[in-house]
Order: sequence, then structure tokens, then C-alpha cells
Amino acid sequence: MEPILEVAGLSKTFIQGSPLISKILRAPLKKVKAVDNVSFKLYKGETLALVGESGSGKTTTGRLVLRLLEPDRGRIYFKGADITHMPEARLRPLRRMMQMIHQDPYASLNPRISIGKAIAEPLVIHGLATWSEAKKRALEMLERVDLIPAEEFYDRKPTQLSGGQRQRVVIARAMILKPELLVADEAVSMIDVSMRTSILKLLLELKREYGLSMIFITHDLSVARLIADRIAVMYLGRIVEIGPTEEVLSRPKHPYTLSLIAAAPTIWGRTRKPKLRIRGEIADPSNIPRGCRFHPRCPYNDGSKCIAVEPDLKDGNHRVACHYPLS
Amino acid sequence: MGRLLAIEDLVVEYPTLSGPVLAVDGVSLDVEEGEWVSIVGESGSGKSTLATAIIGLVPPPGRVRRGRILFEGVNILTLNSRELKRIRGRRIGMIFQDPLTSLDPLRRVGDQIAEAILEHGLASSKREALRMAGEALERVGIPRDRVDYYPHQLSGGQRQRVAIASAIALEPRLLIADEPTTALDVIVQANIMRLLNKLRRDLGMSILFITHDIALAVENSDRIAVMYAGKLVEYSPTEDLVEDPLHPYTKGLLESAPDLWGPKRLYSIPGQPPDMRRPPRGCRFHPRCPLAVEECSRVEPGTFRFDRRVVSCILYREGGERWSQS
Repeated sequence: MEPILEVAGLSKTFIQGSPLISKILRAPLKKVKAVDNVSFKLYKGETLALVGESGSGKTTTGRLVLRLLEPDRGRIYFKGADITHMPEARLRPLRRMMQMIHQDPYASLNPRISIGKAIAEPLVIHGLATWSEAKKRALEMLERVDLIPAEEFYDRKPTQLSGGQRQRVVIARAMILKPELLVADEAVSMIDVSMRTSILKLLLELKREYGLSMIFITHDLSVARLIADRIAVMYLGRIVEIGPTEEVLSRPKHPYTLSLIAAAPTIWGRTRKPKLRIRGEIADPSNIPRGCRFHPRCPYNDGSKCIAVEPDLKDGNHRVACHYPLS
Repeated sequence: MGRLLAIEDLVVEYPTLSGPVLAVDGVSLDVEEGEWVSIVGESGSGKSTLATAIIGLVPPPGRVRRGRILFEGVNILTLNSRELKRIRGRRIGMIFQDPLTSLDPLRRVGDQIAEAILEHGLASSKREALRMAGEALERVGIPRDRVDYYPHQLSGGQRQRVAIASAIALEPRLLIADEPTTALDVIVQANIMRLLNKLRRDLGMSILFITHDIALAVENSDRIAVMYAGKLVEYSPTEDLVEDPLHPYTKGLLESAPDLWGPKRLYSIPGQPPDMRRPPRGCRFHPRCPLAVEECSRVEPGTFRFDRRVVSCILYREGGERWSQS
């Protein structure tokens, strides 16, 4: 099967701090390696979850893929075309096919613009419809995302909606361009629990209807389980484990994945869940540990190879970057 | 075990242009000595307002309209600000989602903890207070020599540990924790929860834990209170609540929470949480309730008690559909 998206050796370093202050204090600027040699493929119709804690590089990866950030190294292929350094003019028609949904539905919508207009606008901006055509399509889209009656919702302002309803608007606006790739960045994290799964359900339905491929960025493994075909676990800018969702969750190979599973609060697995305590917090990405970057927190750290040699992602269907993978 | 805290028919209101909003509406709840009680609710449920009322810190223009808050037998609502201050910190500690709410970013963490110890007269000198601050830090897993650190020199998880050290330095009887792990990564969260459990055992204190995460509440609490739109809809021992949720909202919350070990389903409670400026008449939950009958939209459900369980739903009134089962 052809991947719709392929990234190879993607890396991005941010410079932190002000050059002027750095000069005055004679302190070097902090270099933060947010994404470090990340490679993966996304197949058509597939949902890949990027899972990790803050500082894992999952959001930066999503932004790099959509060319919202420029990578330092690596390649991005979208539908077979190398878009890594494609000039903006040539990229524009492809941009329509790649959409992003952000975490905060409050920040993603202009409070002064009616939600109907917000949904219709991308069609007009991309020159795909006149305002009257766009309005008709927006009304259909409102109906599709269950903001009914659509005519009534069309004229409402974002402040008149609940968080869950706003996220439906954001999804409608992304979907009206019929994209082929959707990057959803913590799309349900700020939604109240009672409505969270309804947003996931909507995304799954739209994915099927539109043959959409999706990168779903989340810190929450239990959410990834409900929506993803495959899970990639990221730690300090690297993918440390990637494989089919059920495989990764039921037979995790990386100690970090196991510790995420053990730490996830659960109602139904209180007696069954694995017990693995991990100390400390994710390291400062401007000062990534040598060897395996997880070694300072890893209970299986051997004190020699783990602290000296960076493990590569091993080949296969369920891949892990660990010298001593769990079985 | 004796009763440490008893909230009786508490009403907290916020004036708005469209009339008063009842953020907490007739809530009664008790916490026993050494008990861990969690209050679970979504945004707008009133869970945080309830917590601030207990320490007499409802942010203005909010005010307590009615009710009593008995802490160690004394009604907190009748105390003047000096008396309140003596209880706050000394008898009731508090931690928040953002540790910087209680920590001053410009002062060394040891000085901040020591100051509280001196203020409450628990040490006779600055030196002794600093020594006690070091002990408090050690108790939360932070090396004693960090007394000289400023909050910004610590990670998010360590900062929350310092906030906890500061809250428990005076060995309060009750620790109120308002979403203390919401901003933290899941592994750090698990470690903080373990710490809170250990401190509760070591100090014999009670914990009132406010959270939107029902799984986190289930893993840690003796009893769970569920709030919806300002109302307490159910208050039950944890095992009872999980095995046999009484209120339809509790059941919906349990079923809609994504869970690594639960059935792989995509259930959600239909509808939206109410606009608190215009809450629904009758039962606040009736527009979203799968079991609602006509009467639910007219009549506020009473509160029904069975053994150690409390539920606010007409299904459980005498002669009601679920009454006999309880």
C-alpha cells in the first residue's frame, strides 16, 4: 500500500532565549532538540496516534508534517511528492488537502465572527466557492457535525457555544475543504469528559466518510486506544516504540510505554494494571541524556550500553528502540 | 472515626447581569477523620467554588447565601478573618492546579514554608522554622538542601511537591487539593498521587480532592461526591459507586470515561452541560438524562439516603422505580 505521508529523518532544533541577553551574559543560547531523527509512514485511511508527555516533540512533529515549521533535516513526502522545501506557491493547492485541529477550541475561533461564516470562509479563501455557495456547504457541514438546526447555529457566535460544540465547529471548518490528511493536536483534551467521546466518534465517522488519513496527537493513551490504528510513542524528540494499537497496549516493548500504561488512571483495571514506578520527570530537551535518552529514569538501565549507545528503532511491524525490549 | 467536616445545605451565588448564578446549590457533604473524599465534576459543576467556600475564600463578588460549614465542630462561616486565618494553613491546607498560586516566585521555597511555620507560632526561631521546612521538603521527596531554591529552579512536578510540603508543614487535619495534577504529565501525576496517599497515612489527615477525572478519583478515594450544575447528585463509597452507580449522570460519567482497561466503546452523555445563567428547571440533568420522565422537568428531586449512600434523583424516592432496590 502507498503511504499518503512519509517522513524520513525529520529533525528540528529551536533556539531558546534572546541573542542580545545571551551576548550580555556571555551565556550560550539554549538549543532545544524538539524533534530528533523521526521517521514514519502514514497509510491512506489510517489513524496514527503520536503519544507522549509534554516535551516529547509530538506537536512539533505535527507542525513539521504540515509545513507550518521548517525542518532542519529530513524529508516529508505527501502523496508521493517531496514537499520538504516546496515553495509556498506550489504548496498552496496541497495545503487545502492537509488540515489541522488544535487543542483549544476557544483560541481557534474568532469570537466576533459567526460560526457559519467561520466554516464557510476557507472555501472562499481558497477560491473554491462564492459566498452563497459556501454558505450552503457550511449549512450542510453544520448539520453533519450535529449542530442542528443548522440555520440557527449559522449565525451564532462562538461564545454562545459549549466547548464541545466549538470543537465541532473547528472540525467542520477543517473538513469543509475535504482534506486527505488531518492532524488533530490534543483535539479532545480540553473537552469535558461527558462530551469527549462524542468528538472522537465524530472524527472516526468523518474519517470513514472522507477516506481521511489522520495523525492524532495526544498525551492520553486511553484516548489513543479508542481512535488509532497504530500508536507511536515519543520521548524527548524520538519515536521509541511504534506498532498496531492493540499490540503496543497489550504487549508494550519499551519500558517507557509500560510506565505510561501503568500510570494511566483507570476505573476498570485497578487490579490488573502493571505496576512499574518511574522516577523523575522528562529531561530538559536542551540537555538530552547520552545513550538511550530514557536511561536516567529506566528501571532496566544496565549502566553500560544503555548510557553509552543510542538504540535504533528495530525493524518489523511492532518496532522498539531499546537495548532490552520487554517481551 | 469522627466527623471532621460537615457541609450543610450550602448555597454559593455569583451576581451577574442576568441575575444570581447559584454555583453551589444546596450541597451537603461530610468528611470523616483520615478519609479521602473526592469531588468529581465537569467545568461549571461548582466543585472548585465549593472548595474555596470551605476555606472562606469565595472570590468576590461571589458570596455564601445559605448553609453551614462545620469544621471540627465550628461553623467556619461565622468566623472573623483573624479566626479564619488561624484555621487556614494550620488546620486546613490547600493545594491548587498551579503551584505558583500558593508559592511566591520571587522567594526561596524554604523561606516561604518557614514563614508559615513562624506565623502560626510552631517554631520559636527562624532557624528552627527553616529546619522544619527542610523536614517538610524531605517528607515530599525533595532533598533538604533545596530550601535555598527559587520555584523557577524546580520542575513542574517538584514545584507541586513544594506546594504540598508547604501545605502539610503545619500538619493540617484536612488537605484540600483542587486539581493538583491536572497540569502534570501522567507519570508525574501517578507519583504525586502516591505521595498524597502516603502523607495521608503518615499524618492521619483527611483529603478533599477536587477533580474532573473520575478514574483518578476511583483509584484513590474512600468516597466520591459527584456534582452536576451546582448540585450534589450522588455521594457514595467508591466501590458502591463503581459497581452500582445510582444517579444516571454518575453512570454516564463512568461509561464515557476512556479507560485503557475498560470496554472499547465510544459512549458519551448526550447533549451539553447547562448554561448556569439559565439552568434547567426541575432536575438539572433531565435534558441529558436517558431515564428522565415528564416530572423531572418540573420538580427538583429530593435527596435520598440509603446506608452510606446519597442520591438526588426521583427514581429513588419512596415508592419510586428504584426505591425497592436500595
